[in-house]
Amino acid sequence: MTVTVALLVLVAMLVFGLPVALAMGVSGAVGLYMFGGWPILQGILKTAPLSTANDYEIITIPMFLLMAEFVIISGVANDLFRAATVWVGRLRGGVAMATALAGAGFGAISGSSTAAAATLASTSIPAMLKEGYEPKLACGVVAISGTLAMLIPPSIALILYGIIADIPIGSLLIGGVIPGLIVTVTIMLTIAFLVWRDPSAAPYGQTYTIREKFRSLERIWPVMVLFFAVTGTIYSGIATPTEASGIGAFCAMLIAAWERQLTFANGLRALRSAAQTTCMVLFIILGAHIFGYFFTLTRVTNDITTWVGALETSRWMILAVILLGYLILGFFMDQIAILILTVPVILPLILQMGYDPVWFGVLVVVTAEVGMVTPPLGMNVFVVARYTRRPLGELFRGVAPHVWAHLIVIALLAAFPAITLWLPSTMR
Amino acid sequence: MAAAVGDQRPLNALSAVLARVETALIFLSSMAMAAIMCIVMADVILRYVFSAPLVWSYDLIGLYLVGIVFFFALPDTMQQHGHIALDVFVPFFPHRLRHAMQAIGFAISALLLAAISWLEVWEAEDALISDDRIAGVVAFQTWVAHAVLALGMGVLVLRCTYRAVFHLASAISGRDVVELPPPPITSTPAEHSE
Repeated sequence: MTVTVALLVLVAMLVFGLPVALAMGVSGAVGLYMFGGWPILQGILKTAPLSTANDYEIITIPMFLLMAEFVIISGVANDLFRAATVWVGRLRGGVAMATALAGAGFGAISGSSTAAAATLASTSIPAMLKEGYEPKLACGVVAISGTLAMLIPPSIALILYGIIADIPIGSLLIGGVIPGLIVTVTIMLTIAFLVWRDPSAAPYGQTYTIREKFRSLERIWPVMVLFFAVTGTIYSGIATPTEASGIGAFCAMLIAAWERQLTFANGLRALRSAAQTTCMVLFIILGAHIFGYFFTLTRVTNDITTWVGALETSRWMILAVILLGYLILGFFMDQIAILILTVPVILPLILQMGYDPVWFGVLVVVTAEVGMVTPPLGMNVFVVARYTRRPLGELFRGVAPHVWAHLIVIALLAAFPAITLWLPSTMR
Repeated sequence: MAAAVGDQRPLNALSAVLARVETALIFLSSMAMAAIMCIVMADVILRYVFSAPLVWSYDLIGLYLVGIVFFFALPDTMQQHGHIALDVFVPFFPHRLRHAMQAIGFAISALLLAAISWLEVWEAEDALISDDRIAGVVAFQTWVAHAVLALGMGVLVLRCTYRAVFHLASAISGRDVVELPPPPITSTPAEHSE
């Protein structure tokens, strides 16, 4: 009865558009009050807010968000796209492939999927349309390439998963590298397939000399600096993820200043934006803490785990159902909210079935990426629509082939955990 | 994923007064963010180059600065509609019902947040009177962390109460007299023209 009432309050508040954090906090508090009265609720309310904020490890979130803000100010992402175009642009559909490479490069210096989509939309779509690309193809590749930032380190989604699941963030971030590269190659192969099937969708591009190709790399040194400052230091064990996040933010600020793009006004705007997004994330974590205490005290998580454990179904079937659930949730909910709501319940089940939590985290984030480009809540598609002012229906159709290809990648990563786990196993 | 960093203009004098307080708090939150970045960078340099890390950095950041970033940004993020919400079902509800449910939701939320804020005021007072400090190299006082939480949550309580009252007024009058979230980016001019 108590659990039913709390869940009804949660659903009602979510459906009527109240902030997710408040919905979780209020429903959890209602459940705790019904379960143990004011003394229990008071104890939780006294400890949950400060325990959410008084954590040194959590600074990886604000610092990587700040790094992304400074990267956007600096404009280095545009140079990344230009360099990629010089290298692969001459192929049929080459500029679209360059967009995927630039998406991977941007993902390596920023953890925000929508920021990546926005940056790519403003640079690569005009270039592709100018060369006569079919708008559907051009917009589709930008929307899907933006999702790479969710996977390639520094990924905010993976950091959040690590914090919720209490798993080493460094292993998770490095675990995202190879799947990120596989997704990048998959996007490029999907483009190659699309232009092979319909050559009118994309023309051949301009050819460049070797000298021009190497000269184009001169402008991407800031990206390399940031990549080594973050992923390089984490992988080599020189810095912890928290230290790497601070170094990354500071280096990104210096790069923005070097590029003469950092003014007092936009620096302050970057700080404010990063503070607001951090606050949004931490507020949901706080709400989830209150809700999580309620679930723990009422033993809901244990009951679910026991129930599923008793099912006479193969563990692969259970995993498939879980991933399907993540796909469906991704259609309607924000990826961060999904992670915070589900991981505390699903992870014990995953561990009980003998799966690796790092592998599962990467798999969940790859699955959640699909929700960024599918209706009705495909944020990346909305961002591209905002920049291009093209009809949403056309954009969703443009991204559809990539969604199918993405599902194949999910199956591949699920079937072969070593793809994800090999690189973290070589870390110092 | 990103929170909206919009420029939500207050609809009335009461909201404008609250917005000023919220702007002051988010400025402090931004400064704390910059401080964290500089301290972590300085700590890394001092640790690896001079083998002389800042021994107080973990405690200062963990105890005070993350709290300032989080709790002082709470009300401004709410005012800017930066806290994510599920808005796919909202358009299907009648206008007045939507306002009425938002009024109820924000009223209950204000009660919960007020309870947290009130408990923290007492915690801060107790910690101040007993001169409670952490057991670190630098014995930072703990009342500051409680006070930061109480202040940020306290202003958020005012914003939620404002929302509850003005959503109720909107439900009764049938007119929008409260700041509404910007429409979701689900339509484009090209689409409208079709």
